[in-house]
Amino acid sequence: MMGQSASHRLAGLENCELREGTPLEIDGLEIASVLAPQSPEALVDAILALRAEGLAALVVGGGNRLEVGNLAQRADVLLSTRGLSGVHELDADEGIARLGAGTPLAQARAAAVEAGWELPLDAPGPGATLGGVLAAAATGPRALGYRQPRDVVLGLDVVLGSGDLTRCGGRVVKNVTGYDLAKLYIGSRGTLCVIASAWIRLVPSPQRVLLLEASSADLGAACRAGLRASRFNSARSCVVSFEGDAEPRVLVELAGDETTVVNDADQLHAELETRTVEVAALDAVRARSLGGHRLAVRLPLLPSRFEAVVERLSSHPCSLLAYPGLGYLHVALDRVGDAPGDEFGEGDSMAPWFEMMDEIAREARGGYVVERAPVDLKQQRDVFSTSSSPLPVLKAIKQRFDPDGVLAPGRSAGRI
Amino acid sequence: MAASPTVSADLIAGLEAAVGREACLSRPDELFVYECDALTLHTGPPVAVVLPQDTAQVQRVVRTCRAHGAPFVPRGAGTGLSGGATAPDGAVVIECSRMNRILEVNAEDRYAVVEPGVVNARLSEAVESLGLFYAPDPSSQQACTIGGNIAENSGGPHTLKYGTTTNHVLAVSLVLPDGELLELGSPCGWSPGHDLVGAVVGSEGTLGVVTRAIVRLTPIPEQVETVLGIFPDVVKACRAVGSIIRSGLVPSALEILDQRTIHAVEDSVYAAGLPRDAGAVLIAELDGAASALVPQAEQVQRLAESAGALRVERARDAEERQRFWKARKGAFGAMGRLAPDLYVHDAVVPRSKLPEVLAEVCAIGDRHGLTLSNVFHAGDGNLHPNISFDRRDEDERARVLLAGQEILELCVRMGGVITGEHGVGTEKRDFIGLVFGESDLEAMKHLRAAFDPDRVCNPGKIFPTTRFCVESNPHARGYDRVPLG
Amino acid sequence: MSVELDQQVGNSLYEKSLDCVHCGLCLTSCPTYLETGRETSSPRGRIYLMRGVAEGRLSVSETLSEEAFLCLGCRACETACPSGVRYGEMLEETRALVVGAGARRGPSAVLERWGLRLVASPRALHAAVALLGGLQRLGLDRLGLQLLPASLRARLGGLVPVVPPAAERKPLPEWFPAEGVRRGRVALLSGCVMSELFGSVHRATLRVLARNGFEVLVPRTQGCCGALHAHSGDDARAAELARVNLQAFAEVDTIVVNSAGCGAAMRDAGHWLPGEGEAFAAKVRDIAEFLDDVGIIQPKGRLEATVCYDDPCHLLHGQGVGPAVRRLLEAIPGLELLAHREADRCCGAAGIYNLTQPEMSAAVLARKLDALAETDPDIVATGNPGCLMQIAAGLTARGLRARAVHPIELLDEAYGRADEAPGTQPAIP
Repeated sequence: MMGQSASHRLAGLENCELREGTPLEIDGLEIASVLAPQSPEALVDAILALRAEGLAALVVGGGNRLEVGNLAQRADVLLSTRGLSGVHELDADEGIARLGAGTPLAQARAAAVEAGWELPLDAPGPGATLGGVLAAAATGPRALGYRQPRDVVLGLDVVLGSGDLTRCGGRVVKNVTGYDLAKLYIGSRGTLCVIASAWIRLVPSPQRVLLLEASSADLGAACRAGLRASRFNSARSCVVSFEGDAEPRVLVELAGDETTVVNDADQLHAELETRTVEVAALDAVRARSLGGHRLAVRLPLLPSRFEAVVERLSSHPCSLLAYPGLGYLHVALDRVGDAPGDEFGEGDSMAPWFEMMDEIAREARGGYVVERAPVDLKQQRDVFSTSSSPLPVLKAIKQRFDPDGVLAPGRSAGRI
Repeated sequence: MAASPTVSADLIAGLEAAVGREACLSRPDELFVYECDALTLHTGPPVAVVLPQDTAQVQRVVRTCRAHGAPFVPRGAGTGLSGGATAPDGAVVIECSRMNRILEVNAEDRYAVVEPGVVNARLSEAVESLGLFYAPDPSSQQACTIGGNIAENSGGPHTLKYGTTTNHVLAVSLVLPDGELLELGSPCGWSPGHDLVGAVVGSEGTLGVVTRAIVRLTPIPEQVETVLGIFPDVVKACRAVGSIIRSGLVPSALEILDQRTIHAVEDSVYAAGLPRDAGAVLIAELDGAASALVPQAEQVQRLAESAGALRVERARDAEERQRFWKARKGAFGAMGRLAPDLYVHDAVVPRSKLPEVLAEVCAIGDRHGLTLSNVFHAGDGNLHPNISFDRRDEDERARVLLAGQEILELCVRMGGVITGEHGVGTEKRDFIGLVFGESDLEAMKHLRAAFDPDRVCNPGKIFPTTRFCVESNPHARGYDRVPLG
Repeated sequence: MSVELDQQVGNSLYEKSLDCVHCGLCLTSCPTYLETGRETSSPRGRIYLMRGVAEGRLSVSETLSEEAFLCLGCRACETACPSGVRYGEMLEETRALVVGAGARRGPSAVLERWGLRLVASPRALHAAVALLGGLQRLGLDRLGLQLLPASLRARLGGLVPVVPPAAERKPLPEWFPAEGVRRGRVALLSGCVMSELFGSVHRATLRVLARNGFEVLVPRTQGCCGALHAHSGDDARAAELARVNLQAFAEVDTIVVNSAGCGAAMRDAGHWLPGEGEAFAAKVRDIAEFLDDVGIIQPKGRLEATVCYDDPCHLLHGQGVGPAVRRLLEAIPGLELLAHREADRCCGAAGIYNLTQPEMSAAVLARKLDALAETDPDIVATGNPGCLMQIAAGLTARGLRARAVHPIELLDEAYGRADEAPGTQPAIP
């Protein structure tokens, strides 16, 4: 909690709303103050004020991904980007848009569609904002066609933890002027800077979108079908879901020019006996698979590893959402086994499960992120399975970009 | 050309111990050829050149340099056009040409593990039989290396659809300026914390020495169609590019060559039968599923014709397409036929601004009485105005530099930037202020400092040596920046 | 080692160096760059050194002297160069500069001087080859090798060719008649080494030309083409030898050459003899190129075999002839032409390079042998004596089954097989 004088100082910031409401609980910290600067300049002032008062903030957009990250060492206010919204520019001739960070993704998407283009970003949940999606590098199901958030951003205006408003990249589609700092900021989860606005490269609206579904009797076949389907020209998304005892489902979204989509659909039908379903089913399956569970893990995997890993994990009571073409797997669970003592999070019952995950990650030459976990578990382990090698550099980066730890200290990999 | 008298014999001895005597060059006349890369305007010989075989040798070299206070400069094939591999001020060049092994190819998961000295085109050749290729295809791909491409975030004609190097690098091993080895990224894209791979790609060798990389391999498209639009002038060709982009088509490449360029390549070993009477040629390439390409090619043809194309042709077969690309990629070199020296520019503008920018670029050339030709990645708005000149003519040389500056200022005024794929290097370090302000550069320096606090890794690149641009240029900060209170 | 620069050579080198815009597209075409990874050992680096010397920024230094002779002179860089740099000419001028400056020393230089004197004198060469042949028949050649200094022995071992029987080393007839419908008259360059060691190729060439309707003159007064002298920097001697041939071939319009190195050098005659040399150069045709131009008469005999064609540098890069030879081979019924990935790369023979730079030569050859081992053909065909010897030695050393032949021998064999009645093959005296 911040003191009286600090609160007074923040309340006096120009062009910046300060709301005190019902405390929001994040990772065991109760935060009642929400600071919402209305312009990039007000954002600068807000961060400078926080810095001067020795306060720390959690940056929030739509709030969908706040749960991802290590426990914050301190967090006195929520710094909302809601006031930084708006479509600042949209060049319909070449499909380039400059959008405020607080712009709801739905609004940005609608603006793009109106101009005859499509916004190549997936919303991780309702109310998602552009800034939030970029800060979290939230990869949605359509990244097979859209590519990753890092690939669609041309330039960013950000305010660093130091309070400096700075720009990187620009509005042109090809640019190597200076370091590519946008890559560093995207996915830094509000620990280095607050994104104020972004230049986005839109993509042509597809002539046709189709969602196909195939069922598969066994896990292996579903994984193979998913990988095969991912490699079609017009495949924009391919998800394989495994929930409880239900049959695995393979959902393939095709998007693009009419001819290619229709041809691909025909071939998929012939190979996998697919049926066409409502386009909305894709997001519904995803929401159901991820929602509600007490523990959720994101595990990057090479395509060739899916089958074996899914087989292995399926002996545990978990729900799996696999993106074989994108190369990652979501694992969500509430208990590690069927015995009465296997409820999740009790005592050391999780240790063997994480040992298994570590082994899988080692074989995959990667790691994983525990995206959702109870506080006590987060206290025990780094939610990013971070190797020690880049730690000194990561620390030095934090030190330079956010010297006083204004932006969610401790939240990043290595608890930096 | 004489080696600096301050070069310590101990440094040379240390380097020889690190890589072996044969792999350490220190005679002044050997160092002479390392005084520049493909940008010959900026020179400075290194004090030594080492040719390490592996990561461990690079680490030893870096530690030796640190022990003797010598900066060091990683170098690929020296085909860079921004002076990124020049090594002035007592630096040691770490030439990566011998680290040229393809360590692993995984066709199923579509990646390759390579050393930095692997030549770009060799990688695509090596995986062709697996139905894969390495997508970034800079014009110098027959010679340039993956390591150099990573440093510069190199592009190429097919960037339009496939993205630049940064979209294809999954992991790097980086020897830090203190000799420690940093492993970043993984073949499955895992990167805890921040996207440091993304930060290293395009850092022009200033954060460390990349000694290994894992790169993405892309499936060879099912079919390719190459459409050749023949235009009376370059401005009309640019208009066609605008309407193709607006139409929602995503060609894999949209390249324009003007008449002077066509003549130069048609006179060279890379002659492809491009029409000499054309004022400009637009090469539009489409790839993907065979069934979809025919209507798309027809649409491109219609758009080109309504933009003013005199006629539109199609490459008859793969062989003819190859010839077009060889001609396109040999274009810079072919300019050597026009004059002894060539200044290859590289700037980017919004694609909707191409027609007016091109008209103005040509006017700048004319105003300064220079031989200027254009061959460029039109689909990306990435211009390459090439100015042919003779460096022995002091006056002409001065006009070339002035025209270059005017072109950059023009592009920035139009909402563009000063480099799209060649990098800032030494060439444009004093122009970076046209695009970025103090605080923007300060943020970049934060990144630099986190990796290389003492600025010993490829010093003198990217960052301005003077403050002139930022302080005095009315266009500094570039485009319509949000006003700062 | 610094010397005064010959102003004229300096100017010429300087002007030619201006064609290079330093783009680097030549780098990976260069065998010595691929081996060393050093910019100094690349075409671009060497040109930069030459320019440095021409501009007076460098003296004729150790590095330039080494590099001028470490270069194979394969001119693959010219084929890669979009700017049309005349690298081959620059190299010869530079070598002349280095030799003139007395900067060319060591056993390689001695060997080179020896060899060059030998090839320029038909009588001396004939005697030397006869002596070698005699030793070989007596089995004394290995012993003879032992008498040489170690440095030379290492270089010569394995490369000494087997001397053909005396019948094949006899001088060719001065005139050889056409068969069937006469289509014209050409002259053949008999050259120096070709006559002594590859007489069978000459005889095959005569028969093939005759079979295609051409009568062939082989002027007695002709001599060595001067290629090796020019490559070694002895321009004066090269010009002298070119003048001899210019007179010997004065009466014909077409000079057919079956040795790539000689053909390339003769086409460069204008470089040493401005004016008259250019007219002489315009008469020169490689045998495959000539047959491709006039239209080859389809052989009826079959050769059931697989063949890899290996481009001699001085044919592909020096004369721009490549597809013509492949078409010639494809014209032979039954013969299957296989591509191999190092076909257009130097084999490391490069005149007498394999003697003067044995280590680099072996490294360059190894790359080609790796590719040939992968493809594993029955036959390797290549149209240059140096390459034939080098590749044959390499195939043997590597234990590969392929035999090395000149493409024209395969065509001759196909014609020969079609002749049903024995003895119809015209005998050549």
